[in-house]
Amino acid sequence: MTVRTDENTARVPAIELRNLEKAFADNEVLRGVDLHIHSGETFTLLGGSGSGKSVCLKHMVGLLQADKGEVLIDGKDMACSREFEWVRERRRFGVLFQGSALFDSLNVYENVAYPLRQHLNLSRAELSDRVSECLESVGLPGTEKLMPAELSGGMKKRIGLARAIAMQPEFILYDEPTTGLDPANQRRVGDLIVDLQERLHVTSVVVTHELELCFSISDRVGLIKNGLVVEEGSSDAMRSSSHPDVQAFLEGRMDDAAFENVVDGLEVKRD
Amino acid sequence: MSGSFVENISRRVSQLGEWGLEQLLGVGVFSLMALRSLRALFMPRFPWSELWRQWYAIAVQSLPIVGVTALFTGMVLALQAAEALSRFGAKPYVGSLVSLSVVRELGPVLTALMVAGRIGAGIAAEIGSMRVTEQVDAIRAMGADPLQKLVVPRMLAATFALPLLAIVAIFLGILGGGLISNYQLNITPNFYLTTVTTTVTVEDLLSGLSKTFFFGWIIAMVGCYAGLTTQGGTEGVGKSTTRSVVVASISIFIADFFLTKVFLML
Repeated sequence: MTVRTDENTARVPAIELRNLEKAFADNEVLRGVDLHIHSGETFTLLGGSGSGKSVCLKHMVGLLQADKGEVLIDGKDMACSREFEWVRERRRFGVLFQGSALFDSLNVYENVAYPLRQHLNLSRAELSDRVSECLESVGLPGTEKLMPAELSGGMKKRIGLARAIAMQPEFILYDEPTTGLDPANQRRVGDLIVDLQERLHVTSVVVTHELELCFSISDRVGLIKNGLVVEEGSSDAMRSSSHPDVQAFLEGRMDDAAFENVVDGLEVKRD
Repeated sequence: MSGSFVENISRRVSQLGEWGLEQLLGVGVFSLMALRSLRALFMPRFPWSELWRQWYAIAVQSLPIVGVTALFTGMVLALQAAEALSRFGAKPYVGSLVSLSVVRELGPVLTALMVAGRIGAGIAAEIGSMRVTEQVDAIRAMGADPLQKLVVPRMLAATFALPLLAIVAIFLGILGGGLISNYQLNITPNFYLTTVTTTVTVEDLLSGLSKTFFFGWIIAMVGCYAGLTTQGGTEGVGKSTTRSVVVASISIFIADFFLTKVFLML
């Protein structure tokens, strides 16, 4: 059951998930997710480990195909689209992956230039300008020659972000952007998300379990639990929500059911 | 008692069926990947720099192990041939036996096996770790095709590098046989060379070398398939690597038999 507390339901959402279901073998990860993301906002999908939030994100760019339900981009259903139809749509997206997913065999310059080479016919000088511009945006100018193995975790995230914004996308999807970073780098990445939002006027979708990041950057927030979005609303509305699951998550309590799931999971793994 | 026996049997049968279906599915996915990779050959924005990187890794960097293997195979073959042929008083014809074996069979197959171990495993490990660290997803998210960017360069490099490596292997194998003939068997280099050139025909060479195109293709595709279907983190990468070497090696032996059969019929 989804409770909506936003006022903008009249507009066509930029990204909408309708009754999305996805299972991996016998493991039902998404069990009917409904979600609205409006143009120009920063939306954060909160959820614990294994709640299905990253899987949700991957459906938005067609990296996973839903078993059931709809994925609407600007009102157009893409759930059953084939790979070549997604290829066109993906030019509008920039994705920052959890582990940054930089190409190990390519240096920073080639990594950031990758989407530009794929989609545009730029001259060498134009390409180099665009790459330096992107690297400057994330505060790492002059790192073109470095290899990914020479970068720290925080730098990798920022280079990954530079690559994600290279095509000047309309949407930026962040998969756990601050996980595994020290507090200083966490804040820096959080600031970057806000900064890019203000400068590029993009629609951002952030998947995270970190509350501090969530409330410092988001216009609206959704909470996903056991493959269902239990609550969706503005940042302030979420903070004062009386929904028991939201309260539990904000206070860092794990309810009994979720705990049992984790224990079950451990036992299954041990077998 | 009999109930549990029947249950046991039926469980085994259904497990066997599941295993069979899984293998069949694997063959289907592999074929689809192979077909789509052929189509991806003709897509725009060909990854030239990746092709060059793969060519260097496969053709150039495999030279030492292929060379050493071939040289010593030729040498041991000469020793064994001398031992066997002396029983018929035909010891001077070591060159014929060595060259024919190396050209038709050992050069191509041993080269393929060495490359399967070195390159097939490398491909599976590299693509497998790209898969578990979401780099394959990143390629797709940027609107590119992993088959074109990852599979096609490896497929082309391996398919065309293997024949060249096999030529080197054949040359060094015959050289190895010649060294042993000269220093151990008292056969003059001149006579050895004559026995080689009068025995080996162009057909022998073509039949040996044409197999290597197929071997190269098998090594690359099995490696790519193992890599792209990697599951379960770092542990999965290890499993894919092993699987790719085992499957590629067995496939090379099976393909060798059928290709030889076909070439003998031509």
